[in-house]
Amino acid sequence: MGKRMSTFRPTQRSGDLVTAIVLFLIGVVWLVGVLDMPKGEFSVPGPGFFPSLLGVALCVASAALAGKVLMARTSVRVPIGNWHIWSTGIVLVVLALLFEPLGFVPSVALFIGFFLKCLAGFRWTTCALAATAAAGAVYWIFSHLLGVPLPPVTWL
Amino acid sequence: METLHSLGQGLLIALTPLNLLYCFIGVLWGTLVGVLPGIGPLGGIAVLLPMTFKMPATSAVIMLAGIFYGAMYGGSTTSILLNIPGEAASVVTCIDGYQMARKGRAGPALVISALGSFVAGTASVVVLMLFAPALAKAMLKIGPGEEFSLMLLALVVLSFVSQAPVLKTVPMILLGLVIATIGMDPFTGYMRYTFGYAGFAEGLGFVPMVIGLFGVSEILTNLEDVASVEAIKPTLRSLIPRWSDLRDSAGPVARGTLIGILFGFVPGISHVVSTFMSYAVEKKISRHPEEFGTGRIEGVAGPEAANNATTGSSLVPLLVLGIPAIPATALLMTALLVHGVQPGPQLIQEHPEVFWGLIASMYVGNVMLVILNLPLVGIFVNLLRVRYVYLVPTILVISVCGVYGVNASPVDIALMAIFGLIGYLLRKFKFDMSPLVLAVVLGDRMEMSFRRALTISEGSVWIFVKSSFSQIFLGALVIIILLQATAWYFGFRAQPAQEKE
Repeated sequence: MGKRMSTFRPTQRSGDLVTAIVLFLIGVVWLVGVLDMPKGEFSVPGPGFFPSLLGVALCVASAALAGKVLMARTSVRVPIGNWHIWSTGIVLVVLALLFEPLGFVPSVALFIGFFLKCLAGFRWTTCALAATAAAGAVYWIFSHLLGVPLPPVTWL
Repeated sequence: METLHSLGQGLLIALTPLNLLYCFIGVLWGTLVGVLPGIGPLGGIAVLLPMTFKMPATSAVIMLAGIFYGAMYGGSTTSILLNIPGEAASVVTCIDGYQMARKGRAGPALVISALGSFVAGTASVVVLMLFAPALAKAMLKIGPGEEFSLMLLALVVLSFVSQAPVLKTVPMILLGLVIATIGMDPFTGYMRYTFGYAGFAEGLGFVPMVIGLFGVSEILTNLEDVASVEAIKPTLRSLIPRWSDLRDSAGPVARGTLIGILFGFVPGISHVVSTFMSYAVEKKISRHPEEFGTGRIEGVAGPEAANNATTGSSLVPLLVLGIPAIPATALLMTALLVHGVQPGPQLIQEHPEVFWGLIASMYVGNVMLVILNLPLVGIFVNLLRVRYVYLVPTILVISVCGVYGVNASPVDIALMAIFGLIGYLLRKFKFDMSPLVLAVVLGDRMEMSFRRALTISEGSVWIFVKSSFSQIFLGALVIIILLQATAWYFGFRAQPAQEKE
């Protein structure tokens, strides 16, 4: 596994600008959310008081960042992501969705199997056997030995 | 005398067979996570966090702290033998440590690194032991107004010492404070920003956030380029350092210890900064600065001592003020809170067994680490021969177990994945994530002290400036801002990355 082709090559400037815009939008969402909350008075601040200050501050700070970025003249390209990186993130989200419905061992076996097949390039049978054995071993260690609550298989 | 008596009590707690075992597990696991790239002390603590729920608070904190300082020892091994820092603080050790290894002097580099770490780690525990009770006594007098000023000072310091420019750090701090407002309002019970999901009533999960931002994002970054590495294997005989090595290292270890201890007190000053500072100092005062980078023992001894000294002193703000200085101590704070122990000025009075048990265990743990690290160095290095494609699912599955174990919620796994991707992008665009995480931890208390102070003073803002403590904190804040503004005005401030490049 060596260096892999990046999916995107945005500039540092555009990355900073997008981040500033996202942060500004979060600030706006916080300010909109505050509208329904009781603000109280200055002597007895309510639940909406502090978040409204933070929302304003975040909007101002992200606007300042955006302004600084827009004034910058030069920028470098930043290589971002490859197939392995995006798929790892997505597979983790899929694992979260399957974790309780399938139970620990089958869902984690699928998760490990994905890496063994796609990253290491093993044969299907090797992947299935190794992944199931590893998932079973982890379940035994964490659930039985260490007492960590993990979802059992209930659908079999 | 009182301190020695308390330490004696602490030793009685730390030396019970069960606590010795937990301390051993902690330092061993810490060394392992320090060796392996992509997991680090944060991931290591988070993974074992659910395991500690059934333990007594003292045993839990002994084990988790063992992971924290154990990781600092482990990181240097791979830096010296493979030129791969196991964790970020060991980056500087690569420079001269690996060059020493290439010249066949890996053994002395490892021994000096371990001994320097032991000396510095022990010295920082002494400082923690002597300094924390006195500071805690003084801090007992502060009210909500002073507490708010103190936390404001911590966040301002954080914004200026961050590795990213201030304009990139301040939004990160504010984002952290904003995230901290998610969940039930502590005063009125009003639900804020939960978007109808009851699972967010307690706030956004801190453990999945930290593991995602630091652990998963590092794994994703490592997936960009994984080169095969050749380890240099020292023999047992070659471990013995020369007399000149010991003599040349004594000064750097002493200076590194002092730098590390001082930097540990400051919020946001990570181990990384103290190691770079120590390296810069050693190079500056050396008679042969041109030889740094070619395998000078001073370039290993100083930074390694600084790294380990920071670990002990960074526990002072956590245990005495309830303010975690770095993300790893924020996780320790989470562990203490889970066990109903509130870190802060009252900790030493209310839970002396936790405080003194931890202090005593750190002496014991440092001895364990020296004994562990030298003979077992070969085993730790061989771990790195395992292909990264096997390590990725292993580390991720362990992280999943740790994250799920806290609340038994699959939403936390999804949060970990999302924060992992966010962390990866933030890393790529050179945003510092530590201020974000620390602001999340401080946000809740900051809001509470702010509202409580205003309620007590019936809306008078003078409560934030009238006491002498507040004046000290706010005075320091003003001085920092003025110094920074002056530095900016005269152009001393480093330019943002994109302009340099």
